[in-house]
Amino acid sequence: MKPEWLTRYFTTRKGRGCVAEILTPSHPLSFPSRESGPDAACVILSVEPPLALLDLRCRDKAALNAFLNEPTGLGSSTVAARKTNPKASLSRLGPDWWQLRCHSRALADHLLDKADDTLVAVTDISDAYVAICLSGSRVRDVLAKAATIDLHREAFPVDSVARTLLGRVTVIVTCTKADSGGAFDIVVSRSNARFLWNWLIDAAREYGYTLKSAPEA
Amino acid sequence: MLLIQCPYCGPRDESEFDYGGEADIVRPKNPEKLSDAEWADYVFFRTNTKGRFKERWVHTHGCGRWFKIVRNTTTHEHGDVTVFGGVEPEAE
Repeated sequence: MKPEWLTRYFTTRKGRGCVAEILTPSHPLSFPSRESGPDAACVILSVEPPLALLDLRCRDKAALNAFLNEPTGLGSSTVAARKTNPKASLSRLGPDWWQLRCHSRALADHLLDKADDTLVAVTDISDAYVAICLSGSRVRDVLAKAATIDLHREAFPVDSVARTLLGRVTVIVTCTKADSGGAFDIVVSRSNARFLWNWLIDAAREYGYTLKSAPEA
Repeated sequence: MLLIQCPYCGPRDESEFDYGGEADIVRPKNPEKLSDAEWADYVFFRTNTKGRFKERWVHTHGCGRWFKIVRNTTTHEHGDVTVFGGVEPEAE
């Protein structure tokens, strides 16, 4: 049986200012769960539920804070940092560029409805990206094989965000946990997701890996 | 491989950037009055400096911002970063 989020993902969704679309029932990361290698707990890869992801562009930080404060309780941070609460996570990618990952579709739709009354340019980019979560004791070793940034726990602590290259693919990496090797969210474009997924599996092969929560084909 | 100091993101690998050529090339205000030689000079010819050279870079796979940097073309030492559009980096 498909999980609830997967069923919702493949149904028609209408949004303000959006053309109604029917998504084809194919996820770029439709692999069965499995374990492999010497120690399956070394690297755990899982596919996150479909995103409710908004791209926010604004030169006026006060306008952004006013736009987000009431519905999300979040405000701007410094570049390359994330603020998070149970409603949403706000990552700052550049001086006038943020991405808001809403934890419910309703919140994203609410913000899109408010977008006409603000100086913030709001774009719904949910369907363009896929999120992969990596954790486990050797996760930093796997990422270090391809990342162009320093992901050591002191250089890249929890709630650090970087838009960077991983395996020659542009991704947004976020450190979400520090304990037991750490956990990282990797947001990648749908078109590159399968390549990166296979790349990460190859990189984790020498340590052992577990694939979890992958939607079934 | 260079480690380039993005004014917004900090030091990042050169592969995240694209090169924008010599900085501060000003477009002529009256291009219709230029001779072919003057127009060619504006479009095609650049200085070929050995030493400190001011050039443009864009952090394509990072924050996406353009900036100017002075690089020594012999030693690759670089510094004196300046930003475009008055979007100054914020103090941490």
